[in-house]
Amino acid sequence: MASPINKLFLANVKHHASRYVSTAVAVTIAATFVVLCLTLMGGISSAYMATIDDATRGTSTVIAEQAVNTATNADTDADATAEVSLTDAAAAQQAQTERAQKMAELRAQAASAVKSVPGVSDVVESTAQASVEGETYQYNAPMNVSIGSDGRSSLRALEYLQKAPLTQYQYKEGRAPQAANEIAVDDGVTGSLQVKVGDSVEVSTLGVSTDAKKFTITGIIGVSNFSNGSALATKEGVESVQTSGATNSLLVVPQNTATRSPQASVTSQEELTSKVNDALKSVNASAKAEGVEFKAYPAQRFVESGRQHAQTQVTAMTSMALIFPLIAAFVAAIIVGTTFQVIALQRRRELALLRAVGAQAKQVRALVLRETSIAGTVSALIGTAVGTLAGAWLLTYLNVAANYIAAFSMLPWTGIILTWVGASLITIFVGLAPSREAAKVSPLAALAPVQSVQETRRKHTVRVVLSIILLVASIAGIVYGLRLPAGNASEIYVRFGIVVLATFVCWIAAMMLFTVVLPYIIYFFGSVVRTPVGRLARENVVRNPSRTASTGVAVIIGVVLMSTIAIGVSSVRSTLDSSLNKSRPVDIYAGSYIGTLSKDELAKLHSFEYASKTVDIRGVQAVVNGDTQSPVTVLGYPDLTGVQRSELPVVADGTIHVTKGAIMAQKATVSVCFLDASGQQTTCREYKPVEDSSIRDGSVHLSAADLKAAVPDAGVAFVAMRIKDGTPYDQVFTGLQRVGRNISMNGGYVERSLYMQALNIIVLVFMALLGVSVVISLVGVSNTLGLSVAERTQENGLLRALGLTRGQMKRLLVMESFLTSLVSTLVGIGLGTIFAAIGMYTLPFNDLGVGIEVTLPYDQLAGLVLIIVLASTLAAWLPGRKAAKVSPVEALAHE
Amino acid sequence: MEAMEYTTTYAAAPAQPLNTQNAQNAQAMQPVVSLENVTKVYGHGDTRVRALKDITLPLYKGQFTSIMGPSGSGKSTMLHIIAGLDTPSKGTVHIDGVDITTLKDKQLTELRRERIGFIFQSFNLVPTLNVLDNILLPTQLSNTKVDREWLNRVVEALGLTPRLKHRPSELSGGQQQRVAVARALVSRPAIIVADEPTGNLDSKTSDEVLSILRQAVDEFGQSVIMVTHNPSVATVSDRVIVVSDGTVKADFMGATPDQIVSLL
Repeated sequence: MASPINKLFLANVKHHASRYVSTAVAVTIAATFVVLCLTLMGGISSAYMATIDDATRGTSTVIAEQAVNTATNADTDADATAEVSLTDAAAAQQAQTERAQKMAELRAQAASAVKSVPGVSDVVESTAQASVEGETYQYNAPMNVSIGSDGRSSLRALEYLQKAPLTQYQYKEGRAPQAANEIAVDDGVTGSLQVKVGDSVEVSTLGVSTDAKKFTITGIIGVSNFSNGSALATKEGVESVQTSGATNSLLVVPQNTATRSPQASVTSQEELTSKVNDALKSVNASAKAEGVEFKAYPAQRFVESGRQHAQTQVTAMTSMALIFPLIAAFVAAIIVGTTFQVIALQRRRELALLRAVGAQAKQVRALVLRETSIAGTVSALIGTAVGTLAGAWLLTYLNVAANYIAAFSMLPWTGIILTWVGASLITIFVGLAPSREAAKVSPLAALAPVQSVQETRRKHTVRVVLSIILLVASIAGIVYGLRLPAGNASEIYVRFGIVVLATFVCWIAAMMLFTVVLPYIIYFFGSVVRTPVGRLARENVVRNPSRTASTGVAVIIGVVLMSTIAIGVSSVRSTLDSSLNKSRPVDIYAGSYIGTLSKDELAKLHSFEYASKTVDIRGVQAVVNGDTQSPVTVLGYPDLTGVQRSELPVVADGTIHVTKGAIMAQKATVSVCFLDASGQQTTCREYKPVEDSSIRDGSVHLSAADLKAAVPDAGVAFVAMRIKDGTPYDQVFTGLQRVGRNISMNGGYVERSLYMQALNIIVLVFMALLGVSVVISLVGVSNTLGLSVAERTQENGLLRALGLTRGQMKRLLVMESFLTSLVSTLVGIGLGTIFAAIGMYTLPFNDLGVGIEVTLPYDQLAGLVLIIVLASTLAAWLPGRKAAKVSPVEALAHE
Repeated sequence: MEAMEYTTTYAAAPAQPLNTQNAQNAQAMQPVVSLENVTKVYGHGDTRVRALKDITLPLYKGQFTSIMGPSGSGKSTMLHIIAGLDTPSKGTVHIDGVDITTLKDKQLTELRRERIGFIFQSFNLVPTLNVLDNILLPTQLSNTKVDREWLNRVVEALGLTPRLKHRPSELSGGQQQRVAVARALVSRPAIIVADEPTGNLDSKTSDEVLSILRQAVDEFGQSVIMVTHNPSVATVSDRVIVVSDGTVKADFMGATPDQIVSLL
């Protein structure tokens, strides 16, 4: 380019860089956000991959212990009023120990058989469980160990301390455990239990009535916050806790280091694996008697399956997470575009002078384009750099990376470079139109007196007509979609798809319409204010309609999203609440893992501080219709009013409520022979069966009176409790654990709290992420204001001369900012409510049994308005100061 | 109201330097603005400029005073100080009995709002307000009730009645200056300060505006202080002060354009 243009460009950059400050701020914020998001996702993915690699590191083959029967009694229904074996606990214990011994023997046989295979260096035991389903290979240690201290406890998986080449954990503090009563934990445990190296903790297996064992913490292992929690102990230590056997699989260490995971390929491991399977054939013959089969798999399969699964998850997570930074980037682009336009308009005179003096239109365009491009590229660079540093810090803080050096190696550098390039290109692109406009300025404009920039009222007929057409069409689409049937899954998704598409088009049309209509809405709103300053402000806001519109729309975008989320979540919350009230009417059923509740436990439960009411439910084992093979739990249900949150079917005297579809319901009467503690039948009674959908398989309900009549001394199987509203779940959990070690918990409260917790986190996270877009919009408001102050120097001088005090001048600016932001926020909340309502009626919520509720979180929305108002007042502070400083003398000086 | 031919009315009166005024006339004239030993300095060190040097000057009520001088003479600075837009580096300034050198910015601003009317060469009107709102601006800022009768009288006298709802961009230069005059009159200030009010206007419109200002003095008893560099415009005035190099070089009551030209 011509050298005078370069000189001019450099001079401008030096003197007028401050014009572009807000552009820089907007682009920096957006770029930082994008990079931070990419970094976090990249770091999480690396950490997760590392965990997957760790599980089978140094081995070539995993020997799984698989059940031979097809039926696995995995009833993971958390709400099941679980079948409780009320028979002798000691007998159960005995059976378990015998089985454990048998398994240990078989395992030893398998191990020695495999060790003799050529190429095998060692066979090692592991607590991890291998599960193979189709193409999915999973290998991890079950989290079934509770580590507790002083009433607090954490759930972890217990692993054996292994030798190389298996994973060697890094220790942040202390050393590996050596004795049988030593344990190493992660800092999550030390944090929540408030213990340190050298303290002792109680370790026990969940759900079994073994006593807790005391362990001393010898070290803190450095694992990321995203790995499955593991604690390390010696083999003896682990077995002392998990008396029914801790080993769940065997790992084969090959002599050939090239076939060790995670570097090796599956094919390289297959040879050794098939030899191992051959060696296991003899052991499997006797193992079948115990219902177990030893099967070997190449270790790398677990690695690859895990990585694949993680990859899909991470990609999905990253794409979803990137939505927010992209929204922020979009808003930033709007702000930057407006800024460039305004700056080009402001410099009309200077550019006209250039043209008058002899510069070509092309050269003027190049000058402006270069300035905007530099502004954009530099801001993008700053933003990317800030994001990178922040990301590295975040990874270290979250323990995903051990230190900054590791963090830097984890960063997604391609993504970061792409962000910088992308952001720069976008700002360059956004600067094209303004630079073209600038080049069109006539040289004569240089001679005209400086006027405050005022737009000619352009007609936006095309835009208005088009947007109205789209709006009407999309509303029709939404109504049509909502009317579609929602019977089966495919119908629901089709309906969802149509409504979402129509809503999207509606959104676009609304935004198009608002860019024309918003200034008038603000004008109308502003007519409420009667003071002279207020009226000046109102006129000022609409003197440049398209500028006001762009900044206003940027605010609307952010606010619509935030309020949609807030309203959506609160509606989901209240709908779920009503639904849970209906389907899980009882908050907590507290029972015992080992039979009926003891006197002591009962006393504590009755006086439980968080319960507003408790009711005892007594129970015994019984034989129904002569079926001695499967005894059934009989519960005597009293009246649960005061505890239940909605109607439960009442058991009438003389009837017995059974599961819907149970065989016993077919007979006219059911004979129930009650068993005593030793399993002997005592009395027998007959009752009329009633089918009841609220009852699960394995138990039947009698009325409390009937049970009392038949078995007067029946123990209390469950205490039904109603928890005081608002009590956090963890408090309830910890409280109930303190009642007794064997207390089991089921009921609606668990689900309710988990959902509510999840929802609260979701709303917080989303609000924070969307808040960034709103911050960028407010930067835009401040910027627009500042630029218009610069334009209105002479006018402001006149006002000051005529008697506008400095305070009034500042108030003028605040009022302008306030009007734009407030009206935009209210419009945004209105739109957000509409979209949230549409969303609620479209989401695949079926089988809830209750109607959809749309509730407005008035406190959150009021908070949103308040924050926007405060922020917009703040945004007017700097421009206000500048405007107030204007001396009438200087401002009105002759040119 | 007709535009008057000022060139014929006043040219006949001979120039009379102030110091030959008879005592009676001197007593009848009240100072509405007085500068006492006023010095104004801008900048420091090498770039130091003394715009006004120890000026003592009374300006009288009910008179049309012109301040003239070449560019860089300090006349604009003097006007700014008279108008309360600026304060002197040394000395005191009384406007309508108030010593403005002791006032803070807020009080000074209020003084301007209530006691001083402004007419500038350009940028006279707020572009977003219509003519009526522009005229009422100072009274609205001070929240004082406007005398409706007075307002209507002024608006009619200036021929602005059909234009009250128009925006400044819809008016010619002369019409805009008339609005500025109306604004200055409506608040009934102690002084009207005009800075080159006809600078951007053609001769016919200039005449109109000047005759309006003259009328304000004659009919409504205003005190007008005007800065100009055009000698023929100065003949509308009762008194001409010539400023040069920051000091008063000449001070006359009644003069012809030729006399003034010879002074400059």
